Amino acid sequence: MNQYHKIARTSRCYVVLLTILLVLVPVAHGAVWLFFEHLPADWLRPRSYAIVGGVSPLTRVLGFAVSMIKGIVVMYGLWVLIRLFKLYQKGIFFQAENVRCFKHLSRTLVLWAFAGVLVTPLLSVVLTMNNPPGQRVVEVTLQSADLTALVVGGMLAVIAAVMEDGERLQTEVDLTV
Amino acid sequence: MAIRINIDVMLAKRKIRSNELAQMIGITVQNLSILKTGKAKAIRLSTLEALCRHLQCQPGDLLEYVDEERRQ
Repeated sequence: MNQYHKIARTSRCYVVLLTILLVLVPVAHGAVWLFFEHLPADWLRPRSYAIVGGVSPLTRVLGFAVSMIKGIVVMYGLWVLIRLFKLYQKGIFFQAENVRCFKHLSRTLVLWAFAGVLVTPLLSVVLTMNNPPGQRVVEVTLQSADLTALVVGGMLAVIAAVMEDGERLQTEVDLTV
Repeated sequence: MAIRINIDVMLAKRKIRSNELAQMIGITVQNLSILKTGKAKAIRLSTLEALCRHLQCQPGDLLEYVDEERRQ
């Protein structure tokens, strides 16, 4: 089995896995908000403030909408990855389409970091909106995962630039007879 | 591109078909088409040598410089 077949086979597996994940993201978000009260106390629930007023249907809908801000970014990232692995499956490695995928992935990670910063305060507002006055909270956090995404996004931007040069070289090789 | 590759002319002179030439010099018909249509960015010396050998000509018979700025 040559290298191309190995890459194609592995890429096929990743396409399947990522497609499943793409479907699971909104389903998982929906399930979390549907069964929010039944979730274990230390799992996905905020620890820095209490939800006194309960979780109303409106809270669930708003919570789902807010959490899907990050979810949509993740779904977009997964969709770009599926596109990239489909290209690898076809044996397309250093073409303009690959470079576009890397650029989009880089932007997605940066977007994910900003979405992370945005979602936490919005979620705290939604979850404590039924609390009595004085117990409503706006939580602002900067998580290490968001910072990591920002750094990795920057690295991917550099890799995309290198890939762009690789694409130029590949075109030159393709047009050398 | 200011460099033209006149393979068509030589093929007509030698009465050889494109696919026959591609087979003789060991390149694909698609690559020969890239040469003929002027899309090629570079030509290997080994390809040029094979072209000259099978078309019985000199590199100068195949390659031509056209000053496009002056032509305009």
